[in-house]
Amino acid sequence: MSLIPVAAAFIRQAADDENYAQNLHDAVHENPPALHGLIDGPVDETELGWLSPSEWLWFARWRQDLGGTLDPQILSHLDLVLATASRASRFEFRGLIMRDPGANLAAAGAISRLGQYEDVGLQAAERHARNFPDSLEVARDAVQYATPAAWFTIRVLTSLDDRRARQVRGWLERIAAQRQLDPEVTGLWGLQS
Amino acid sequence: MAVGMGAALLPRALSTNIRGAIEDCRPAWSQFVSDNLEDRGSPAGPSLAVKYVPSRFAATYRSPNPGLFIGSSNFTWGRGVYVTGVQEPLSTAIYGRIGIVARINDPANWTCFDARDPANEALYLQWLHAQVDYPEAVLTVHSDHWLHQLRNLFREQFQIDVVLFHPDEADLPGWYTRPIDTWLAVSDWTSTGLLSSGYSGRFSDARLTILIEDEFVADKPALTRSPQLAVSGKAPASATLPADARTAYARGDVCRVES
Repeated sequence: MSLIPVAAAFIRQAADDENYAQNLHDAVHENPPALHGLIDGPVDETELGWLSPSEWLWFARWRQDLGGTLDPQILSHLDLVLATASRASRFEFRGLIMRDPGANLAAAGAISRLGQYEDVGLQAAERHARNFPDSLEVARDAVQYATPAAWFTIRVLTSLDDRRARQVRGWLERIAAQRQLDPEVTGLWGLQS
Repeated sequence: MAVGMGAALLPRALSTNIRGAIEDCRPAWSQFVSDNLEDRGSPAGPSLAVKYVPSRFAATYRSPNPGLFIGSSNFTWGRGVYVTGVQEPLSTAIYGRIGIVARINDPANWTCFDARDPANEALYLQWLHAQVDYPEAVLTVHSDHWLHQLRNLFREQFQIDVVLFHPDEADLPGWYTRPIDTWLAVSDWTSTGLLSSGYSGRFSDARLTILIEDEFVADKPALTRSPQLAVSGKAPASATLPADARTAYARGDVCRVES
């Protein structure tokens, strides 16, 4: 079991109030095992009920900011529950992955191809790109974040074997033409230069 | 190096204009740094900033401490440390009774975006309108949150160390915050060029220096902030306060501001 059950009340307060966020920051930095447990410890499926999806988003970003890893359980949970939640929450969720240092390192290391990745963020990005029904929404957020992990997501979208890929490609081509983008950029999207 | 490549997706002229505007903001930033020198007779010395916090943090800043904490809520220009210069020491007292004064580290190398200039505000709006998510961000009930995230992306794209802007909140009688004051949103960076969190590395030697007698409460729905005491029924005497705050900081004293 992780530290989530004992830390949930503090996480809720910190997510809601800047001053409590400072208190939480101070508390965990005075206790290295607690810090390590919270930012890198795995979260169990049975613990997901301790926080609301908004609080999980805040907590996942907090872990990331402190150099922690993305947790596959949290990502799967958010991917599922935010699919029918607010548009802004999905923008945040995608940012969590597309701005993740580990995911960007992994994506930058294999910039020209898709493949099998051990990185938790890229796995989540690929799953999300394949399964989320509105591919244009995913593509817009990816272009908005404009990171290697975002381009990875777009390459998944443009490589899909259905009409969604054509839709996304058409939109990306219009953006590229309107803004006279460098072929180097559109190449990263999986479009022919 | 910034992890985001968003600037490469902008219309070229817009990107060029924003970079040019940032370059043109150097004199405004130099002036701010000069106006807020710790010792006005020592132009090469440090400058001072002021941040207000709730009184429960008073003890933290009366002894050695980790410095100023980076705010991540939906503040005007997004994530950052929000301060004023010591020359306008009461301007943000609406946010807490405890005025922390700190030295600004190495300001000569900071990149500035002066949002007090209407031309720069207009450039930011052009940038905003060029964002692919802008229509959805502005039409959702969560616009407030989303638009703040976009301001973070803007600052990251151009690696802006400090945004200067005029106050967008004030005490109801206008005794503490003046519309012409300058507020700062200061950025700290991760190694990949993202806005970071935790304690800021931009300031040092932070300590409790100004104690405000009055207290301000955000009136629901937080469009105004009212003083709870207003004992004298007028603005606190402030003509000598910039000098008093500098002296108190130098001596390790506390400068008290009566209601």
